Amino acid sequence: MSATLRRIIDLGAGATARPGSPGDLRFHDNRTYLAETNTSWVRLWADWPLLQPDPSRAPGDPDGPGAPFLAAIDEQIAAANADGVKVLLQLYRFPLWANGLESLGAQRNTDAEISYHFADRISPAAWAAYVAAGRDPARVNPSRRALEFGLPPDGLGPDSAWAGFFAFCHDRWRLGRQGSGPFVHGFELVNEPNFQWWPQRAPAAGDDPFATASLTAQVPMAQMMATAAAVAAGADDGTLLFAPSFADSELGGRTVTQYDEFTTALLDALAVIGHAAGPNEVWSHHNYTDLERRSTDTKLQRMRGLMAGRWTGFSEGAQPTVFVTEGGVRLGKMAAYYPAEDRRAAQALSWRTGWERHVREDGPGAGVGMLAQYTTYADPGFDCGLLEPWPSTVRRPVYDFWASLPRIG
Amino acid sequence: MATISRRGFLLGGAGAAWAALGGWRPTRALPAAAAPGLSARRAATMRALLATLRHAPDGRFSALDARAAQARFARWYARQDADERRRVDAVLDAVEGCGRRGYGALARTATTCRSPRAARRAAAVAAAVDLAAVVCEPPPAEDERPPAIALEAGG
Repeated sequence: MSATLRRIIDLGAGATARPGSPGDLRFHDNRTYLAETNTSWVRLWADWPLLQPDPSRAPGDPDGPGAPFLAAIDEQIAAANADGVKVLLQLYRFPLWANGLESLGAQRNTDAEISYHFADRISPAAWAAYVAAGRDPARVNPSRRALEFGLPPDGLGPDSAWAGFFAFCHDRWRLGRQGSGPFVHGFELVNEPNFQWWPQRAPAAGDDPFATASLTAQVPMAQMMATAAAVAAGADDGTLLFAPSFADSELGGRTVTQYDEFTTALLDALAVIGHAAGPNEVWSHHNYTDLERRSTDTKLQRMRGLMAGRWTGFSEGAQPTVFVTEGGVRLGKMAAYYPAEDRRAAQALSWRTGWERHVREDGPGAGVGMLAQYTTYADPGFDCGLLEPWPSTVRRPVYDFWASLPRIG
Repeated sequence: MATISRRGFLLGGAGAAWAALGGWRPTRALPAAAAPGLSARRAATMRALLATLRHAPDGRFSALDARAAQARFARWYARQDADERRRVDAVLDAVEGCGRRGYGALARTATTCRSPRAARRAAAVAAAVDLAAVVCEPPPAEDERPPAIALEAGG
């Protein structure tokens, strides 16, 4: 039985991007829910475009446009601090001034915006539907990666705008701030770069723009990790740095890179730039599909196999160590995988099964330092909450299961 | 199980809806009285919200045809199950009138939040904006979360 399998609740990007919204830790009984479920970590989000929409104004400018969002982050971190809940702060997205897409930002939902880098942002099927509709967004507005996930052309190195943003966040909320202000135990540098970032690959060589080509996104990912480590080294106060926060989606193509391909490429890229991760650098991963499929042969363990002997970062117990910083069980997947089961009961059973397998020191649990639950209140568009969607306050069966688990870490 | 009655919503207006939000519960099986069609009052609330969002400073909704989008919303609403329609009803009742006060007021509601009461209002606005996004934003791709659309000041 693992003595270190921590649990974290991710309150979602909305908790700080939309103060007062259902995920806001300060309100809607969220602090009570964390306490009742013995949850020792919470994942909050710092959205760079909201905090610094104007590059001429520092993200900490008290009179700047980001001030309300900064206050929401400060106060939610402080609330967690007061409750003895550790904070993982997720740094999110790129402002359009940082990735050179401001002009496109003024043309959202037009053909010019939709068509930009379409093969790296849109699935072939969605693009075909859009084209068949005469490229008229009023008829078909295709699913696509947001402009704010476009990689900055100047990279993510020590002189980049992202480095400045990370330095601001680290200086404001690092663990060493304990006693003088809100503090976090860790920063997650990125969210799902293998799903959200674009482009992830070199341009297709032939006539098919959707053809896969060599992976390139591991280079900025490695750069980001090295940059953050260099900034954090100045403080050396034990603040953890989490990455790469891989999505475990089973999709593919140019818009989604599977975790295993990206893992190997990232480890190679880290070696190329000579970055050996230190003990404050934590490998993070998302595991919705392992939980939902009630897997014994988990993607997470396959990934650990690829990391073995190569990853030099944080470890405890069986090496290498992986923290799951986002996960959960979506009701829609329950209906698809277990049609004979009640969806809410199936959600609870999937979580129970996942917990019992991951709390062991062997098998699916080997080297796993944390499991994650995405949201307290369910997001109707990504429905894996412990409670029904707000304004309901009805606890689902999975809530009772979570509340039955011990507080660890 | 505490619920807000439809009559309570219709007669009590937005104030009663706010007061009752905290006790609202979904039920698995709604009484037969729950109509699948969006009421005219709620349709007007959504249309006003959509019209207001056109003034968001980031311009993402600037080309929005509020009337057409409201019609798409009504069709989407009719396809939802009873629990979801009930949730949508509660959200729209809670933001009734917000759209008429203009984008600036809506953004202030959504970004300044210092009390549980203000949080309930902000949460309702956030949920209503999410509903608007269903018919005027690209749908999330498979395995993708819908974006948390923030209402930035400055409009």
